Amino acid sequence: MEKIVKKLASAITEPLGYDSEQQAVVQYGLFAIIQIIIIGIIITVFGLVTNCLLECWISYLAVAILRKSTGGAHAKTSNECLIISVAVISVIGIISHYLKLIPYGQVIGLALCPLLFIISCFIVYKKAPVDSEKKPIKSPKKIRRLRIISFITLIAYAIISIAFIAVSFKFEAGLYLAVSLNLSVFWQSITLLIAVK
Amino acid sequence: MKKYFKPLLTVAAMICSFVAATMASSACLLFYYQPEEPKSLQD
Repeated sequence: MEKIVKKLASAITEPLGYDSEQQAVVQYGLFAIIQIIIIGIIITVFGLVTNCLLECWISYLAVAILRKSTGGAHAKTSNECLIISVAVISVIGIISHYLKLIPYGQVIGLALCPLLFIISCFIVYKKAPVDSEKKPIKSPKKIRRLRIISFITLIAYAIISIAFIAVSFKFEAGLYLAVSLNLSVFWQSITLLIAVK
Repeated sequence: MKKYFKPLLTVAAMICSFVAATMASSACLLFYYQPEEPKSLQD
C-alpha cells in the first residue's frame, strides 16, 4: 500500500513542482485518507454480508476517534495494519450482533458495558497518550491536550452508551450497539497496554 | 480537460496536506500503522 501511495503522491505533486518535504506531507495525508477509505469499504462489505453493518461501523468509528487522542500499538507494515483493523472490527461487530443468540445474552450485555467502560477509563487514565518510535510525543502541552481530548471522547462515548441502553428497553438492538461501542473502547485501551516503543 | 488538470491536482494536494496536518496534531494515525512523520509536521 505504501508503494501505491508514494506513486500517487508523486503523480499529484510533480506537475505542481513541489519539493521533497511538501511531497512527504501530501504522501502522509494521502496514506491516512486511503487507509480510512479501504478499511471503511471492507468493513461495510463485511457488515452487509454478516448482517451486522451498524455494529461494525460503530466499532470502526469508536476505535478510530479514540485512537486519534490516545495512540496505541502499531503494526509493523501497512498490510498487517489493514488485516488487524478489519479482523478486530469484524469480530467486535459479530460478537455484539450475535450476543442475543447466547443464553442470558441481554443480561451479559448489560453487565459487560459498564464493566468494560470502567476498565478502559482506568487504562486510558494511566497510559494515554501512548506514542511510537515513528511519532514521538514530547511536548507536555500536547500530552495534556491529548489526555483532555481522550477524556472528552470517553465522556461522549458514555453518554452514547447510556442512550443506546435506554433505547434497548424498547428496541433490543440498542443494547448490542452499546456492547459494540464498549468492546471497541476496551480493545483500544488494551492496545495502550501492548504498545511497544 | 487539460485546463482543469492542475487546479484539480492543487485541490487534491491541499486536501492531503490538511489531513496530514490534522493527523500530525493527533497521537497517531487512525488505525494500526504509523508511517514516518514528515519533519515539517513534527513537534
